[in-house]
Amino acid sequence: MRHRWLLPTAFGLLVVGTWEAAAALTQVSPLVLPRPSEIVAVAVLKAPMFWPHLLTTAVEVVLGFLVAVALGGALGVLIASSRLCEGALFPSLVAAQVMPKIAIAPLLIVWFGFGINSKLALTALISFFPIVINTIIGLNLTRKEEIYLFRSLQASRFQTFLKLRLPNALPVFFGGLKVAATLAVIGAVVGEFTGGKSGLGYLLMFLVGNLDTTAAFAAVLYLTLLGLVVFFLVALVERLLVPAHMLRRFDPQA
Amino acid sequence: MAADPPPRPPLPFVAIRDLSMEYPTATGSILALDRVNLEVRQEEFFSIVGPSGCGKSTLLLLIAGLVEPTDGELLVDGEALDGPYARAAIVFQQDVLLEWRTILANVTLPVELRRLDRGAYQRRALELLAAVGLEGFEQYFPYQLSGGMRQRAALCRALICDLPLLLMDEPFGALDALSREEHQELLQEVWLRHRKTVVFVTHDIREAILLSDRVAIMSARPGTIAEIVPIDLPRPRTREMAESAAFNQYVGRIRRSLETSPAAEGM
Repeated sequence: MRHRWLLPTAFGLLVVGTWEAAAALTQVSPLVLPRPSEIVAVAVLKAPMFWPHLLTTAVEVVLGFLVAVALGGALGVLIASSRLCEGALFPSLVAAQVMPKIAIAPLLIVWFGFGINSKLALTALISFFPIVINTIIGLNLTRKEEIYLFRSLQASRFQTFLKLRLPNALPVFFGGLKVAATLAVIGAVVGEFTGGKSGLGYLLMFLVGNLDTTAAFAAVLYLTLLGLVVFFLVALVERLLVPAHMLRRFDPQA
Repeated sequence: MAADPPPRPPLPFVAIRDLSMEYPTATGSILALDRVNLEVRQEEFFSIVGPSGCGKSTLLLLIAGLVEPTDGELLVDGEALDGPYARAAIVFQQDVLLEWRTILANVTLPVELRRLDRGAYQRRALELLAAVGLEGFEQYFPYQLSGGMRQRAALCRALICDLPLLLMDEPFGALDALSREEHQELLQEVWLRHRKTVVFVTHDIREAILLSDRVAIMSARPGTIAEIVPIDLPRPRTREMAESAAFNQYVGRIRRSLETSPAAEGM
């Protein structure tokens, strides 16, 4: 299993190496396309500058994501449990999702202020839809015979939810969480673009404005790492809660 | 000297009178069952044989209380049903094991849902699994077991609470012929040991004769009971008995009844 990291690492190095070589050979200006080696250098050497902004954005992403999970999960359960709720809520939900969040970001600033709350609201809004959808799909995967079984065993509605529908839904649910995790970073950054005083998104705008492209790329690098960490945390929780054989029902290579 | 009056026969465990089941559909309605009449006696092994789509599975769901009839009377243990019957255990054709639970946790699921002490039933679960040949597989997951093994685990789950009524809907239908024979022998063994009232649905005539005290023959949709044939063969019934003339006479009789019942195409 050690060899699992070999392939992505090798591919990543190939991409970075090609980038570095191309930038060096074509002598392109660092203001347009900086070299990876210089980006990493700036990221490391100027770390104290990036660090507080990273922290701000990280807090926004994690808290916003958690709000999205709570909200999205609750709405998903509600819609999957009641035809009434489904009919009433689902169309409005889709409409709300289709509305571009970037467009209403300034409105959120008006409502929630320039502080962290508007960023949380935007992050949660952008990332909660995949969670709702996947919760609904996952809960509706229960089969008729399984419901019959639980009814014949005199299970209450709550027992049927907790011991049948929920565990059955987890693989699909976590798929939604993973998508939401990546969207959460976008949400936080958009919030900072619109009206922020700190954070990697805010810093990014500032650096681009100063034509410090290399440092701007370094900010993007930090954002990418942040996204990766959140994603992997979700994957870790998934590994703890979902038996592996539920996630991969057959191995194409075996 | 006056003879003692003959003992009254015990009340039937399941009593069905003029039971009908109609389903609404987009184009009207479908009559799945049409005035079914039958009785299942206490501790009897009762089979229902019929062609696909005749409504025998629907009948089983009605007895279980999982579906409500549109007309007629259904009494289980003397009482009309008000929802799923609590003292019945069901075995479906697909084992319906929960994939995220171990075999042992699947077998003790009924105990858990009834909020009984799982520890107390643990030993019973292990004994049942050993009795069906699944010793050592308690911590395995269903996906690691073959279809036959999974169905045996489902049988253990049905037996764990020792309920008096066992309903089986073509439980061996998805197994290959050899497995099916083994499972029939196993079921007979289990039933002889733990005498329960069994209602067993199948399309396999030989299986029905091998296992049952009486066999009800159902006509094609709309399903009614064409005939009920008592099987007067000694127990325990063996493979050799299945080749005997008496056995094959029953096979012939039941097959003819199936073929001549109204609307019997598709058999």
